[in-house]
Amino acid sequence: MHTIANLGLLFIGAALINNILLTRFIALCSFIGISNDWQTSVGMSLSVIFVMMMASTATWVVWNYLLLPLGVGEFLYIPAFILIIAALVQFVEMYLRKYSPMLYRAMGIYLPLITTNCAVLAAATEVAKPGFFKMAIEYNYTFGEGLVYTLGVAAGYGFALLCFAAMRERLDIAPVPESLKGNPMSFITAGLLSLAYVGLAGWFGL
Amino acid sequence: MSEPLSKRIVGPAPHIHAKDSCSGIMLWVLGALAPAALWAVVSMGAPAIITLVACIASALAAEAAWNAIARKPQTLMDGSALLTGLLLAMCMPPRTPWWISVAGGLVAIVLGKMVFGGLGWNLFNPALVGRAFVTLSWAGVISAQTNFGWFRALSLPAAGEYDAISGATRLALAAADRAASGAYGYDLAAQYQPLLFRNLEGSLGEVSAALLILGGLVLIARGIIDWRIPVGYIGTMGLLSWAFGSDPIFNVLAGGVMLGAFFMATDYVTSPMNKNARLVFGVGCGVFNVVGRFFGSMPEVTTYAILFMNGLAPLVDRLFRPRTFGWVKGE
Repeated sequence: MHTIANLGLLFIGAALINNILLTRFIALCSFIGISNDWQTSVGMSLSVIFVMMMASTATWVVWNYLLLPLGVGEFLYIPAFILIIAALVQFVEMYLRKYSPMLYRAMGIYLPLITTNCAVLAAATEVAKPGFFKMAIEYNYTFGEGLVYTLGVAAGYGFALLCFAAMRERLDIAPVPESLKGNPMSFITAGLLSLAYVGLAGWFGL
Repeated sequence: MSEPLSKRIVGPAPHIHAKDSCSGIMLWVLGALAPAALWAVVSMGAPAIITLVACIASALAAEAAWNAIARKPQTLMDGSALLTGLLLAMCMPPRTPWWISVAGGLVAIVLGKMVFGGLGWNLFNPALVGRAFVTLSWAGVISAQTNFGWFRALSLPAAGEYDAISGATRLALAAADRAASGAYGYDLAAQYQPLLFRNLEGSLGEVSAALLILGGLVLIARGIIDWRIPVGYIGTMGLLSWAFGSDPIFNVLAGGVMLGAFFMATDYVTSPMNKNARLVFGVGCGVFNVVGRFFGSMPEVTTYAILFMNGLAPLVDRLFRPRTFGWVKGE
């Protein structure tokens, strides 16, 4: 029971309270770039959940069974993780194209985008090196905890992205002053949205 | 606006003229809020007047200046800037330095409303944007303001050993008592009467919950605000705080819930359009508010609860979008 409650808190902490987009300001490029279209945002959210889970799994294994035993983790983890994530995404893309054209068509265009998405690297790093983001909850990611955390980050990413995409549909038709149209207005709105997330700070001591 | 007449589509009869207008509705809301504001001025005196004037004047000036600079038609007469200024003042502590109130009014109007294209296009409640901005920017200045002298009457029995609670609101006292698992014996039921009629600890809008409820009920009866949002909000607050083992009536009356539920969450522009979606919106505000109070780091989170749900409103509206008849899905 205690573990389940802890996992729940870990998920909420990763998804909402420490939302990767609106309180950490990581992966803003995709947040601003993708959110101008609802369908694209839905596809991107699902793809990010899928890729993040795989990337964290792979980097967790590499970190615990390769980098740490060899004693090179502390200074090699960033290049190693970037390489793993990029290679993994490329392989998935090739695999999907050959074996599941339907899924490839739905997800394919987002996969190259995700390769360079810093949120994936951030989640993978946090799972490998707990404390990277200084969450106040006690944890020392086992494999399961790492997956729950990653799922939380990805779900929080998707939630914020969909929220923002729905808002931008309204912004698109608003008579915004000419000089603020487009990205400036997106940043102002994202700033106000992140103002609302301030109210979540410190919930459950997270 | 200036398209040729032939392009206009005229729907079938009957055409019924509604007398409601934008400024008319604003006047009703202002009127409903006026008793609570006046009573706050009577009870709190000069500091309340300074806050009210600073907020309202800066909101009006910001709107006028923006329209003048942007060469847009002047929109002061729709009353929305006046209402934003009043709402902002209602959620400020009376001893807030006047320049903070002025900054709040400016941010509320410019960042909260005008950059989006003016009234009807803002995604967040302007007054709450202003309040969140100033409370985050000058948190130290605002909380360092001394409160009124008569706070002693409501202090905890054990107050002697604490110097820091002198300016605390009833919610903060209740939270401190809860954190000490009831060691101070803070009597929640004894707070109903001051919270309803004359509570001087907190912002202008916390002086009298009874007058706010009265104003809110008038607005509901007039059909100006939808009952679903306040009922969802306040009902959820009561039920959940009861479930968390606290006094539901105290939790509903204390803090900014009444002001937020009746006057802020019900803002047409920033709440969902669909009726069921509005209920969801109200419940969401309530859940955020209760959980923030009981498990968060701040004693009160009404501002953020409503801002958060404002941000969610377009998404909620999207999920509740009614089916279009006469079309095959995917065509």
